[in-house]
Amino acid sequence: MPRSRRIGLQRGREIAPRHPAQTSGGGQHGRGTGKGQGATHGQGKGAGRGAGTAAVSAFAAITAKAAAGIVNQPNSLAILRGVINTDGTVASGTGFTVGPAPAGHFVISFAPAFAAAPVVIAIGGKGSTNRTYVNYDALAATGVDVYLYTHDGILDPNTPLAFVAVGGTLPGDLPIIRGVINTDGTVASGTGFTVGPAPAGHFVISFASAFAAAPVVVATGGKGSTNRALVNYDALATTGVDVYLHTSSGPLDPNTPLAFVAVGAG
Amino acid sequence: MAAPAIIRGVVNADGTIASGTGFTVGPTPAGHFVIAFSSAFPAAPVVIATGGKGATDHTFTNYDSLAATGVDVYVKNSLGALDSTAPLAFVAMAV
Repeated sequence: MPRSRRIGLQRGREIAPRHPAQTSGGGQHGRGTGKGQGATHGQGKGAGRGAGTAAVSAFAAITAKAAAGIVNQPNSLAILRGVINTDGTVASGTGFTVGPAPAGHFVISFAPAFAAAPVVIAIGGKGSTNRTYVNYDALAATGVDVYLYTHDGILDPNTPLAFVAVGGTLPGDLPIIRGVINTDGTVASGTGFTVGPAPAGHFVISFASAFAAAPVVVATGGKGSTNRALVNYDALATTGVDVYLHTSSGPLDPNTPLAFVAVGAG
Repeated sequence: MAAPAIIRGVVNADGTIASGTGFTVGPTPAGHFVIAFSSAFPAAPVVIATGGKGATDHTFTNYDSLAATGVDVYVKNSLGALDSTAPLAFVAMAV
């Protein structure tokens, strides 16, 4: 889809109405246990499934978890994923098209559109440089722009792209929370989590309903004042995670929004 | 064994698996995680990943050798060197 068709569409961080509970600055509540790697390891191994994934009281459990923003019932597939070659051809995946000759700027159009802007996470492949930086922009129900930059700050035309856009449930029976968070810590989209106030590059995410075991969290920074924000996570626990965006020179990056997906055990 | 729809995991910096099932990791990754799926996908999946907080705050990830049976994921520091101190979170999803 040409970019001009997306002009005027609301971006993701403007679409979803904010739930009051999501902006209360819950911060670190419930995080007292499970900080640090050691705790992470302990929680990540074999803790079993959550209540919502069990067969017992399935309907009530699903209803409760859905209300908390954890969607785990097998349902319609509102997810796209794909791998795009450097020349813009689609290596794998369906349900999207890519603008021609991306040269590091992948204009992805969803077909059909999501009901609302999805969460998009992405990673660059191994190109001619080992240091590609990923960010996204123009997030909408109909598409997203994903950029790959070199360490020198110019678009990288030599690196393929893998992405996942999550607008609803995952296939199978996996609990998932996903969201987009504005730079000021307000929730642009997603439910089932709160964010500590004034993140300034350090997003303290608390899950409204704890996972049965520490989930897998993947994340991508949006397009901020720098094109080279680096993402990492820490303090991974059943109840939350800290996600950091750093500039390439090291300091926290306060000007970049964050997209994340937390996937629990099936 | 049925082909997986999704595999996700957290791998410690030393290559031990912190969470997740359905995959193994090559020994001593030192920033280069050789992930093998226990049951192959029907085709090469989509793999996304994020590095954890290691000794440096600015790590970035990329992937290579993407196949139905596995993938290599790299975590590097801002100087371009492999980062041996950062754990890895990844999701592999069938297409």
